[in-house]
Amino acid sequence: MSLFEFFFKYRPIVYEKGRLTFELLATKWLFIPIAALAVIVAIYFYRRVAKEKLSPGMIVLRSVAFIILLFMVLRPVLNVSQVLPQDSYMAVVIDTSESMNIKDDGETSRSQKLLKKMEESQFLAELSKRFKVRLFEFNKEARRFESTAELRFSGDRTRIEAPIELLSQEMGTLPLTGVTLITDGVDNASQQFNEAMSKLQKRKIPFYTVGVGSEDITRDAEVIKVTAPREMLKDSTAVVDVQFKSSGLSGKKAVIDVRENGTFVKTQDVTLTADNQVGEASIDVPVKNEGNQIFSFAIRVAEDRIAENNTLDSLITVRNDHPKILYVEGEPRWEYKFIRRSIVDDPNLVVESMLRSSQNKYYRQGIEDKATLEEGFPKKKEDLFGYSGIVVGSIESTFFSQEQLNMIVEFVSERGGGFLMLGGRNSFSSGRYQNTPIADILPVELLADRAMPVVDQVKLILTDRGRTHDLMRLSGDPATNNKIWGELPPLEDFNRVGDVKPGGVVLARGEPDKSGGTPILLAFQRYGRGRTMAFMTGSSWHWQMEMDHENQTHELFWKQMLRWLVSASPAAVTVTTDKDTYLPGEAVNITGDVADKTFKRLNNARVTARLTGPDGTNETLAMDWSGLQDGSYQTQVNASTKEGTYQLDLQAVVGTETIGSYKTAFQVKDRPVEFYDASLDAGNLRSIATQTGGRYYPLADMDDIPEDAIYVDGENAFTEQKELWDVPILFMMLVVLLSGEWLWRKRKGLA
Amino acid sequence: MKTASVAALVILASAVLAMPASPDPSSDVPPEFYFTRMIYSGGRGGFYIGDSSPRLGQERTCASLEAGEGGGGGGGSWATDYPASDCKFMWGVERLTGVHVYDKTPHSVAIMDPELFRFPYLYVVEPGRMRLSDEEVTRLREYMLRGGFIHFDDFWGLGERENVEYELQRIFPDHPIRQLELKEEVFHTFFDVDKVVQIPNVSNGCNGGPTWERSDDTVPRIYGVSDDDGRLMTVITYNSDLGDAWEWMDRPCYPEVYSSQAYRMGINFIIYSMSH
Repeated sequence: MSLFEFFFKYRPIVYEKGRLTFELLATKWLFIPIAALAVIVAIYFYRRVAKEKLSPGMIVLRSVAFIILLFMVLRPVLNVSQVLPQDSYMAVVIDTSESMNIKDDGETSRSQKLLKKMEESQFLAELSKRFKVRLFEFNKEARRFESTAELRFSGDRTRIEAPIELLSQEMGTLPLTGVTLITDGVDNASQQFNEAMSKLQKRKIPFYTVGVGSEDITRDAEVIKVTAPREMLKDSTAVVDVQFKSSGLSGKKAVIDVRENGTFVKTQDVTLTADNQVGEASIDVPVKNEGNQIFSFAIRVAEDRIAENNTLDSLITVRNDHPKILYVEGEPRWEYKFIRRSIVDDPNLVVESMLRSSQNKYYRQGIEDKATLEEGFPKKKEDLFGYSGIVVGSIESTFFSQEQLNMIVEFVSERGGGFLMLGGRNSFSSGRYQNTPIADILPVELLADRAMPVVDQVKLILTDRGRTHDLMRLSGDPATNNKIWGELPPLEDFNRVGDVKPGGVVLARGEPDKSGGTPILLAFQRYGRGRTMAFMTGSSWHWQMEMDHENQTHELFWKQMLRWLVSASPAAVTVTTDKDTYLPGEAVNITGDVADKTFKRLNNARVTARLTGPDGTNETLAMDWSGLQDGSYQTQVNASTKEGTYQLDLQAVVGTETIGSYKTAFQVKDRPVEFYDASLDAGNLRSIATQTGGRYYPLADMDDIPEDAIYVDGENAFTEQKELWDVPILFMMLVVLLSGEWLWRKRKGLA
Repeated sequence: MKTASVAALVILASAVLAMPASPDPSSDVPPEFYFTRMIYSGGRGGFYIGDSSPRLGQERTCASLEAGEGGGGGGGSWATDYPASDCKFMWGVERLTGVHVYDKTPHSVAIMDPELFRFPYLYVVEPGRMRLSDEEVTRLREYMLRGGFIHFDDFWGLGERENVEYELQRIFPDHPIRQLELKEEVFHTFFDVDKVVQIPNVSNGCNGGPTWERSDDTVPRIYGVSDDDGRLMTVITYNSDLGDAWEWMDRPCYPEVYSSQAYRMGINFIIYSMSH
């Protein structure tokens, strides 16, 4: 007998399910006015006796005692429905997914604890005394079983809707009184749970949910998300964000190991955050090998109890492309020389430059074909749009025709190219760009008047955003990165500009000047499909000449600047998938973008994608114009059950002419989802119980179910009256109240 | 022929010496290029100017030069042709190219001057008499590896050549001195130079005799030292005197053909240094 039953005579569920009535009253609501009247009468006579010695406390004590007495006299009963023994069915549904093998305490698995409890409490035997018991097990699917000895706990998914669907089918016409659902509550595969539940809810079948496991798994660290770029240029550095969380290991040191196709790359130290709070590490991953590379990120910490959730993969397609950048410089100057020099050994960047060495005389560099730029700055879209980026140095706006200025804007907004303006005596306002279309695309406002560059030493200071941005990362370690930037020589000049535009991001400013101002030195923004940057100085070459020749800061900075400038510039024909990793059977959404050489998007192309699996088998998918966006073609395919890397080759043809082709890849990989977020989800189980009129039980209280489950409404139930007048707590309260009231009166001299 | 040469000389001189037609507002911005003469020790009566010594040239301005004036710099071999050569060459560069030069006064810097690295172009005259300390050797190596460029000019004969080779090999034991071919980019950055012309000193030029100074080796050659990426760090005009040609370009007796070639070569070197 529990403590509750000792005081209240019956189990809690009797009070939950029962309806209170009084045998001597037509309706229980009459009790209230009768009790109130009796209290008033009692107070009246009390006052006549006690007079001025009466206190409110004494009145309350005697009133409550009077109410209790009245309650008992009126013969209260609880009318509660319960089933006849063996007259109905109870379904017992046991979770047999892999997560039931987790050892929350490090010693005993959930399944072991469950089976032990069932045996000790003779659970099934006790249930069988009252019900006809049907046993079911479930993970991804559900099935009946006869003996717990058959259970294996090896399912790789938990789909709570599975047994519900099965129950609806197998026991749809049977008198099902309740369902005992024993699980850790983590549902990672249901798709139409509510629909399945509603069928049983209509039959008013309560669920008695039993939670197995711990709501807070002690000593577990898991990687929960990896965000990496889908594509990178070879010999770049991918900045990958790894999110992790832990429980029971707060503040401990851990490491994240990075592997490329199984080969160790690097490791990074992290400190685990407070329990169940998401921590994040930003890891610089060198991408050196061309092709589709699988990078895995694994968190490692001593005492971690669940290893299955420590690793997540990301597929990065490393391209050995050679994006072309057009650099136009208006005068021979050192900045030009040192920028070119800094990227001379970059194996991927191609910088074709035209240096105006004199009026109407240009020195072209970086070109392979002698005819390139022979006519000067491109006048046709197909010539300009063949570049991925444009850099404009110290050259006045009147150098460009109006058509060329407009074309530059389209280069960014339509073609998706990158545009960078450098500081100089003919840049920004001093180059009279303020009333040109270029002013619209720059990330900063230009001054209205022609303002010459400020010639003064200014130290470049990273903004908060700059400190964390990929572009300004000269070292993977934040402290080292700050040190590197801090040690750079000051710049010698800068162009004054106005405010940064909404949507613009300032990465660096000059240290405060005499008036306290901090001029913007580097900013960028997205514009249309592309991006624009403004670097307000022409003197970064001092970072090369005034530092040791072995110091590669200047070179690294410019390589990163130019690579970043073009990193988001798309090809005319591209193909992507919505994710890089899919579960077996998951839907893969494929999107192709098709445009011609001028980046005019085409809706009339014949687009196909050949999908090649890891075993070499392939199929050709036809892609239809989406109808929603010009040049956008879509199709969908279900990921195979075979794990591995899948290659997609897209080709776009108009008539007999091949417009272009593109490749991408994705991987199919099963994830041990059972071990992610594997804590007991008691909330979910309580919700299921509440929705269905049942109750939730921790595993330790599971043996209450056979007794509790008999109290249900329904066809096979009868109503039993449980008397309440002799509930022990009422007697105890009477004794206490009356004793207390007597003692009080005695103190007051009334007794 | 003579009339045509005189006419060409007049035109060239006009181009070089005429003041700009209208003031350029952007002239408020400091110049980009300084023709910087490197001060070294050694040479005839030369003296080494250390960090604390004033640089020469601060007393003379280019505007104070008279037509046909040259010489008078003093101070040692490093100051040969100074200041006229520097000023007149810069005027030519300013007029003929888009380089924004400093042409107010000549400009020089000692090797160990902390300011050295602020001037990525150096001119060294009469290096046949140059003597470098170990410290200076290290400094110049660092200078060129960072991206600096040096033009060595005006040394003649095997003896002086041996000195220049010796000093350069101390600076770059790992990078050979090689003779440049005319197809190389440095000869085509601004003008197309299709032959190596021996530029004589003013005396030999005006007197019409041999254009060489030392009989043991009379052929003009142009050498260079490249870095690991193939960029020329230095150009060496051996058995030629470009400095004299710039200095005396407005002396009627000095042949225009030499001055023109000297300007073409010099400008090419500057454009090369500012683009590689």
